[in-house]
Amino acid sequence: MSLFEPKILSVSELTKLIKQELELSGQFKDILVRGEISGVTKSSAGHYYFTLKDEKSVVPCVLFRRYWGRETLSVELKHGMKVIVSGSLTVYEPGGKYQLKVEEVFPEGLGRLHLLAEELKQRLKAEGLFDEERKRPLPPHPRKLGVVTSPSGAVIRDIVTVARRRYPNIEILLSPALVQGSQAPASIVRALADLYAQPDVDVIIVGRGGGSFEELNAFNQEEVVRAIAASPVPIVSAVGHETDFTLADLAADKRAPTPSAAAELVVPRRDELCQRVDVLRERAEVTMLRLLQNLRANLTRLRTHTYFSNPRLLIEGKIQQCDEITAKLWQLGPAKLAKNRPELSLTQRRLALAVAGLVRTARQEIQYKKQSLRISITRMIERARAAGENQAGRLDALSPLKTLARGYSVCQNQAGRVVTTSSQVELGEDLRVRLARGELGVKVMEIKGEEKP
Amino acid sequence: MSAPKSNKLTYEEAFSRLEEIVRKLESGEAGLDESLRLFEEGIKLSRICNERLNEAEARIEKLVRQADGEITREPFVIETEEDECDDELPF
Repeated sequence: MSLFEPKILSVSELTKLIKQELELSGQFKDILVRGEISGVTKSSAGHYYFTLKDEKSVVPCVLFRRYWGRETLSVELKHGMKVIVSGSLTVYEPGGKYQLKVEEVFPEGLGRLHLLAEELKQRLKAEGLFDEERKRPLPPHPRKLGVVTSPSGAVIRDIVTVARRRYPNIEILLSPALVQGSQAPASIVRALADLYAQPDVDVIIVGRGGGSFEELNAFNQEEVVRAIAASPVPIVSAVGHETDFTLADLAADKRAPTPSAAAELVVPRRDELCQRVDVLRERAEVTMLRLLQNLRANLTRLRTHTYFSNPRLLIEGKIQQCDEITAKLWQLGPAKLAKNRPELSLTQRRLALAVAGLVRTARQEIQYKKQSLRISITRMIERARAAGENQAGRLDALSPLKTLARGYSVCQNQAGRVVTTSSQVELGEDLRVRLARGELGVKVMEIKGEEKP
Repeated sequence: MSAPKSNKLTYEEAFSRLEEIVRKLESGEAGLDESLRLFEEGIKLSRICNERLNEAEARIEKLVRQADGEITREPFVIETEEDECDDELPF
């Protein structure tokens, strides 16, 4: 019977089907469309709505703010402007209309190079070459900075100047390349490959000075863009000036607006790195000092505690207890009981005598316990004292650091043994002198004092 | 992370281990023995960091392709332009 039942779609089902058809087919994804702009409005949220039209048709367009003013070649939108836009077709379900979600807008008169670059950009983007997830962080302390640029001109000079100002003993390795003209793409690719083969380079700047779109064209070439994306170490692009954007910028891990800015990004300030180390070292020293002071204070408190200064206090209370119990037992006087009460039965007397024996044993036991208690407490105190001395000794062992800080130094021979008398060294021997900060290498010029045995 | 193989540590490794040690010391979790050990290691690490910061040689070189295709390194001297002031160049 379902054969005869007509399939009825709800409005939203229909719209959903159309949306799927249009958006998922991929046919209308990342396309370029030529037309004339009309009816531009800008929403309060900053999105642009406009219509793109030609002689026969119109298509509604939306340009979301997040695409606006990004690293794009876009221009300001005006009514009547002939443009080429890039974007994808989407279906706006509540309005039941399709529209072009625009990502970039170029003026119609744009040259062939722009369009080629744009086409390449869409293709590489779809491939994922520009994905955010591919971007690597720059090393905080690069050991060797690789640079791909022209060996003459301002770029390498700016980079060297800025890099040296920030990190005076920086190591830079230039891989020279032609950055303009028909040879440039192949030259840049080769220079990059040469640098990639150097095992000690751990960050790279690739760039050139500003110029026209045509002059920067090498950095929009597929082979160059791919070579940059393939860098084994983090790579920074510095092509042209602030306002120039190339595909190389999108492929690099980071884009710098100028070569000097690239050097600032890549090269850390050496004095800052030194300072960060010093700060940590100081924090460690302060913490350690505080810990030692606390322990010392605890130790002093323990040593001056009454039980240590007057150990008898520990046992006096117990001795008194013992004495009281003993006295009580004697008061009960079971022996006396046995002697003075003849009317008691033999059994009772025997019992009393037995009790008297027990009491005697107990008394001896108590005497013995008292003695051993005294001995073990004395021993305990001795042990505690020894442990205290030991800890104090360890704390003092640390003080060389402080001694060094007061201006003394430690002299060691090459074997690392500390030199304490002049007889330990030979004339001309190389020694190391440790200061509170740093070390010196010195040579023995003269030996005085104690004669050699 | 256990005892460091001191000489092979990079600046980054030494620094992040030093940070970890200072955090541990400051947390007060470690006892005296452990603290002393950490402190000693920390001082050693700070020395390694400083060594790493000092060991670079301020070299500027360029890659040169020889006729046989082999790539070598040569010192690189920047060509100065006559019309520009090169006072700030440190060489």
